[in-house]
Amino acid sequence: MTPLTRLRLLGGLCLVPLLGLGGRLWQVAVLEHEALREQAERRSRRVAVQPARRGRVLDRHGRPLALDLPVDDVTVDLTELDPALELVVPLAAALGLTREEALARLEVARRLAGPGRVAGDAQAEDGADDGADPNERLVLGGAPLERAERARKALRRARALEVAFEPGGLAVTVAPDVLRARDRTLGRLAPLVGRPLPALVAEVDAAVAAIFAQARRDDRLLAWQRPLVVREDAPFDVVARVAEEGWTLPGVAVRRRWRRLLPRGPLAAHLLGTLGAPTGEEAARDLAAGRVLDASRDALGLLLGARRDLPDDARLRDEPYGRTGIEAAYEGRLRGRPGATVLVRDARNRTRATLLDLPARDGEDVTLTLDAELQAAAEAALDQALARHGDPAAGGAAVLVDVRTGDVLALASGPRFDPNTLGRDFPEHAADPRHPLVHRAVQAFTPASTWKILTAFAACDPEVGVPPGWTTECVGILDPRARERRFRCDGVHGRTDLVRAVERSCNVYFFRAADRVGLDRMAEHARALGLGAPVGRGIPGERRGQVPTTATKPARAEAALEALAGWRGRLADALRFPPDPAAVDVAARRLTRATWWAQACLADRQPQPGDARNCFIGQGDVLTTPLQVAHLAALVATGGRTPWLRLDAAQPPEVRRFDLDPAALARVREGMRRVVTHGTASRPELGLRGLDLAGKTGTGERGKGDPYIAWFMGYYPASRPEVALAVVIDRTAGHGGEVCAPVARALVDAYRARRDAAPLDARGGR
Amino acid sequence: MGLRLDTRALGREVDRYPGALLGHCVLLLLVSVLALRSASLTPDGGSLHFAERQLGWALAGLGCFFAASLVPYDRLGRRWPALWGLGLLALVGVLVLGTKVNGARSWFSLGPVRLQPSELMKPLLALALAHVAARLGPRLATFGGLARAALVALVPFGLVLLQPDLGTALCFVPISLAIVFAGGARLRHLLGAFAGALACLPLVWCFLLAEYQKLRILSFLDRDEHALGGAYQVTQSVIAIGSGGLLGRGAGQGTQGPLGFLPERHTDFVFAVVCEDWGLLGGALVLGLYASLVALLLEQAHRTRDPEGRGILVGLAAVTATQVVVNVGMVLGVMPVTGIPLPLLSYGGSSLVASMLGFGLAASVARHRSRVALTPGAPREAPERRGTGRTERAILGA
Repeated sequence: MTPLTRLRLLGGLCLVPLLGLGGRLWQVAVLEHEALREQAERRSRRVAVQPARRGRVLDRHGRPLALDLPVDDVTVDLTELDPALELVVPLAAALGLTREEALARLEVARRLAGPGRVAGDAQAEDGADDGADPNERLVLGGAPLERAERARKALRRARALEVAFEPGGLAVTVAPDVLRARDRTLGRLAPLVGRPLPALVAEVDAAVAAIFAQARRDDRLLAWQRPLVVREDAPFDVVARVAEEGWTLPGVAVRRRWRRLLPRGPLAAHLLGTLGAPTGEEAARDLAAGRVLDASRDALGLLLGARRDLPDDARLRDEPYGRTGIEAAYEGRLRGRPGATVLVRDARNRTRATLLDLPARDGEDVTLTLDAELQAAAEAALDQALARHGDPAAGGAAVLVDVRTGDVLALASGPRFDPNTLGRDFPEHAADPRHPLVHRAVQAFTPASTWKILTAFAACDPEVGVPPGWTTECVGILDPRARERRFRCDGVHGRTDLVRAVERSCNVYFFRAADRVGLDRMAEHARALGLGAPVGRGIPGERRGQVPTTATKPARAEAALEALAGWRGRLADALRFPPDPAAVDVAARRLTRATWWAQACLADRQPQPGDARNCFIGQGDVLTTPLQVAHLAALVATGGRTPWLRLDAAQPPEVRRFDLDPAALARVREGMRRVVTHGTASRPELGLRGLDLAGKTGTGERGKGDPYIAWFMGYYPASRPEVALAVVIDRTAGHGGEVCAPVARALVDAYRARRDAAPLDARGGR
Repeated sequence: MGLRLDTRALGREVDRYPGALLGHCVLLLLVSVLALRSASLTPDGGSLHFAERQLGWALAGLGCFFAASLVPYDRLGRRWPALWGLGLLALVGVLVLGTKVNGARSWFSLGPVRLQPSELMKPLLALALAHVAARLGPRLATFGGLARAALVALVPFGLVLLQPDLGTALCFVPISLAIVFAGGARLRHLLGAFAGALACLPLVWCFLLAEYQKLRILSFLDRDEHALGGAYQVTQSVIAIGSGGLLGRGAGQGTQGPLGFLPERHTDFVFAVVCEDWGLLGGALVLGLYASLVALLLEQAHRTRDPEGRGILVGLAAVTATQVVVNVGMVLGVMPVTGIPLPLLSYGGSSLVASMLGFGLAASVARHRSRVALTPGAPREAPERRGTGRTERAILGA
C-alpha cells in the first residue's frame, strides 16, 4: 500500500460518513419536515381557557333575578408544586415498596433536608457552616445487589434520584433541593393567601395521600390534573398579590370561575330553573362533536385550524347546561362562548408568549316580563295561604298576567326552595311530601268550577246548546228520582239563568246544558278557546292540560296497556343473564305501577253517560294549568281579543282573536262580577267586595275524604280590565273562595300599588 | 534600533501561510458564536452569556492558532516526552483534584474558568504519536513497533477512561489509528489488535472486575444511551431539525431551542440549533465546512513529505471527522448518545482552545512543508525518499 493509497483510504473513511449524514439531514429536514414541524408546534403550545359569563335574567324593570358572580380561586397544581411527587412511583418500583411507603420515605427525607439555604439569608451565604453540607444527597433507602438491575431500570426516568453502588448493595439518594421545592413555594404562598403554612402543608399532604389511595390508575391521572383549591373565593387583594408573584411560584394559579347566584334567593326559583353539570352522555356527545374546548387535543384542533376562531357552540368540559326553567329554555341566549388563549410554553411548562387570544364572549341578558315585586307579593301571599289552609302535602300556584300585552307579571309556585343552596338541600327537598321542587304554575290540575266559564260559552252553542237567556230550576240535585249516581249541587238555587249559574256556581244548570251539548262539542269549544294547548309562548315547562272527548278513556286504556307491555319487556330484558339488580328493581316497580294504572284505566274504559255532566263542571278528566285558567279569565276580560302569554320581554305581544258569543259574554261578565259582590266569593272577611274585581271560585273534589283543590280566577278592574289572575291551592280543607281569595286580594293590592308607583311600560323593559 | 522590517520575507511568509485552513476555522467559529447567540434567544429576550464567552474563547483560540502555527512543529515534536508527560500529569492530577461534572471527574476548576485536560491531550497525542511514528518509520510495520506506538496512546486513553469519560477516550482511537496507519502500519496488525482488544473484554469482565464495578460500568454505558433521557434528547433534536425545514425558522424564532425542549443546546446539540434556525441550508453549510476542512487537512498531508507532519495532519483530520460524525449522527438520531462535542461549534473553552491548538499545529506543518521543500540542504530534506528506501530495506530484510 503506497502512502497515497493509505491517505485516500483515510479520506474515504472520513468523508463518506459525512456524506451519509448529509443524506440523513435531508431526510429529517425536508422529507419529514411537515410532521416534525407539527410535533414541535404541539409541544410548545398550551391552551388556557376562560369560562364565559352567563347572561343575567332580569325582571321587567331590569332588576336581576339570576346573575353570574365572578369567583377567584387560588389553586395549586400538585405535581408542578412538588417535583418530588414524580419520584414516588419509580422509588417504590426500585425498592419494592408500596406507593404509600415510598411517599412516607420522601416525607422523612423532606424533614431531614429542612428548609436549606434560603436566598438572601446572609448568614448562611457567608459560609457560617455548621458542618453539614446543605446539598448533601439524602439516602432514601437501600437494596441488595440482586435488585440493582431492577432498581436502575426503575429509576431511569427519575433524574433527581441516583443509585450509588456500594460493595454491600446499592443506595438510592435524592438531591435535597427537589424535596425543598414544595415547602419553599408553600412558604411563600401561605402569607399571600393568608393561611398558616402548617394548614396548607397538611391540606396538600391530605390531597396527595387521597390521590395515591385511589385504586385505578386512570382516576389517579385525572386527579393529578385537577388543581387543588387553596383559597376559595379569594378577595381582590389576595388575587392581585398571587398574580404578581405567581410566576415565581411553580404550580400556583388564580382560576376565575362564575357562580350562578339568585340574589333574591327563592324568588321565582321555579321559573328561573337550575343549571347542571353535563351528564356522561352529554359529555361524550360534545366530545365527539369536537366542541369541547379544554380537551387539549381538540382545543388545538379548534384553535390552530385555518380559521383561528371558535365555533359558537364551543364549550368547556365542566360548563353547566341549563336544566330547567328559564335557564334551560333560554340556554342559547344566556350562555356565552368561552374564551381561549393559545400560549407558548417552554419545556418546564412555563408560559412564554401569547399566540392567539380569543376573549370569552359573555352571554346575553334575558329580560322577563315578570315584575319582581309582584312576584314577591304573590309568593308571600301563596306561602301564607298554604300555611293557613293547606294540608301537610299542600302546594299551590298564583298567576298574574297583563291582559293587554299578555305579559306574565307574576308566576308563583309554592312551597318554594332556595336554588342558591339547592346542592345542599336537595335530598331534603326530594323527600318532602309537598314536593317543593315542582313548578306548579305550569302543571295541570282539575279546574273544578273555574271551568264553568268555558262551559258557559259551550252551553250557548248556537246549534245544539241553550239560548243565552235560558233558565232552569235547581232543586239542589239534578234528578231526585235517580237511584244510582246522583248529580248534586252545592245548594238549592231555584230558578237559575246563566248569570246566576256563574254567580252561585250552580251545577244543575251546567248538568242540564251538558246533556244537550255533549262532551265532544264541549271539547271543540274548549280547543277553540285555546284550552288543551299551551296559552303562552316561551314559558318553560308549560303543560297542555287535558280536554277530554269520548275517545279519551279508550285511548288512555290502550296507552296504559302499551306501557304495561313495554315495562314487561324491560323487566324481561333486565332479568336476562346476568341480571342487573338495579335495573330489575326499577323495572319491577314501574311494572307494578303500570299494572295498577292499566287496571284503573281498563275499569274506566267505557264512556259513561255522566262523563259530560262531570266534565261540564270541571271534574272528571278535565285538566288545566293555572296559566290556562288565567288566560280564560283574560279571554272574558278582553272579550276574545287575547294576547299570547309571554315571559320574554323581547318578544312582541301578539293578540289572538277568539270567537265569543256576545250575549253569553255579557252574562258571564256579569256573573263573574256578582261572584265577588253577591256570590261565592262575596263574604266580607274575604276582602274582595270593595275591589272592582270580577272572578270565579272553584272547589274540586278528588274523592271521598280527600282534601279539596281550591281555585280563584278573575280579572281586574272589572270595568276596564288590565290584569287577569288565577290562584290554585292543591290539597286543602277549605273552599275556593276562602282559601284562594286572600291570595287574589294580595295580588290585586300589590298590582295597584305597583301601578300607582310605576306604570307598567307596555313593552316591559326598564 | 537596528530592527529592519524585511517586507519581502514577510510577504513570503504571508504567501506561505495556510489561509484556507485559517479561513475554515474562522468561519466555523463565526457560525459557533452566531449559533450560540441564537441558542440563547428566548421569546422574552434571553442573555448573550454563552455567545459572549464563546467569542472570548474564539479570540483566545485564534491566538493559540497563531502561536502554534508560528512554532516549528518539528522542534515541538522533538520535545514530545516533556509535553506528553505534562499532559499525563494533568490527567493524573485531574483524577485527584478535579471537579466532578455529570459523573466524570474531568475538570479543573480554576476560578471562573474550567479546564478539561483530556481535550488538550488530543493535539498533544497527535504531536507525540506523529513524532514517535515518524521515528519508528518502517518499524511501524512490525508488530513490536506498532506496540511501542500504541503505548504512547494507551496511557492517556486509560487515564481518561478512569475519569470515566468514555467519549473523550474514544476520540484518542481515531487519532492513533490514523497516524499509525498513515505511517505505514499494516492493516492486519491493526485489525488483529482490534480483535485482540475485543477478545480481552470478556476476560477483563469476568476476572478483573468486582460486581459493583461491573454495575457501575453497565450503568454508565446504559446511562449514556438511555438513562439520562437519551431517547428524549434525540427525539427533541430530530424534531428541532425537522421543524427547521429547508430554510429554518430564523434565529430564536423556533420552538425547540428557545423554549428549552432541546437539551444541551449550547454544547452537544448545537447542531440542532443551527438546523432549527437556519434549516437544511445552515446544516449543510456546517457539514460542508467540516468536510472541506477534513479534505484540506488530508490534502496538506498528501503534500507534506515529512512523515511527522503528515502524521499530525492525518490524526487531526481523523479526530475532527470522527467527532463530527459521532456528534451530528447523535443529533440526527443515527448514533448513540455520547458526550462528544462538535469541534469549534460546541460551547466550551477547553475543547475550542484544544482544537485551535491542533489546527495551529496543522498550519505550522503546512507552513513548514514549504520550507522543507525549499531548503533541500536541510537534514529533513526528501524524507519521503528516505522513508521509502528504509521501508524497502525493511521489507527486504524481513
